[in-house]
Amino acid sequence: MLGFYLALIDDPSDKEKFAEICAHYKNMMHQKAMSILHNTALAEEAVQESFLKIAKNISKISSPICSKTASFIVIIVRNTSYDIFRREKPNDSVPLDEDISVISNAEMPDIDKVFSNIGISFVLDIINEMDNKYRDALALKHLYGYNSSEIAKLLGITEKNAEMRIYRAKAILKARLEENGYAFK
Amino acid sequence: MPLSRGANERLWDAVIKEALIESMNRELDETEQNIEPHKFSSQFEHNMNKLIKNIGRKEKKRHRQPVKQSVNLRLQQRP
Repeated sequence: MLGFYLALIDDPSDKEKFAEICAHYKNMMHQKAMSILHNTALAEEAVQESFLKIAKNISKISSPICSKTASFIVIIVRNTSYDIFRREKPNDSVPLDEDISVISNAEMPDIDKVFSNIGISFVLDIINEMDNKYRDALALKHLYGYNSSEIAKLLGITEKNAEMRIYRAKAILKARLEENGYAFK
Repeated sequence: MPLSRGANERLWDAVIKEALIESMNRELDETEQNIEPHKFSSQFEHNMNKLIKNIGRKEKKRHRQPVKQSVNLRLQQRP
């Protein structure tokens, strides 16, 4: 299993980068995993699985110690922990994705009108209130430049689900803007 | 004057990015507030060391190959 992931890594500087990430973030990752799983062994498993995902994407991490990388790691460890939670406790519900058929294509409104009517800080409020699964998908796409297939692998979901989460995130944004005074044509 | 669809999308992309960065930074601040050092199990440390060691393996292999080739070339040049 390890060999499969590591066969994809062949840049010598990646080894140093990866070791630095391990040393710097492992306690933070464990704490994040513990906040979801409440079990040390499972939290360690989540950290290990997250490191495998990070190893697979190590070439895309330019700077190991920065807030962008830290946020990426938080996304990975949170979603890995949810996966393990679902696997270990199938009867306890972590909300599952809705059916993709209910999602409409969410085009964004004209931004100049939104600025004049509502203001940019409102977009931040909507994102902060958004379910993590939608925000994470949106972040992986818009901040880290991953495509749906890569997001699916990182989050342990299907490609369709990854696409659905991005559309859903935009749909939430659009709906909240509508509720707060922006009328769409 | 209304924005073109492409310009509108690019601006939205920038706005979403900025809001996401801010949102992620807030979560990071909360997460990093009370980090307690954890004593990982020996199995975890073993697996992580194995993972780190293996990262450079393919590259080492690649570096070794040209040496072999140059030896072969020298051998061929001998009368």
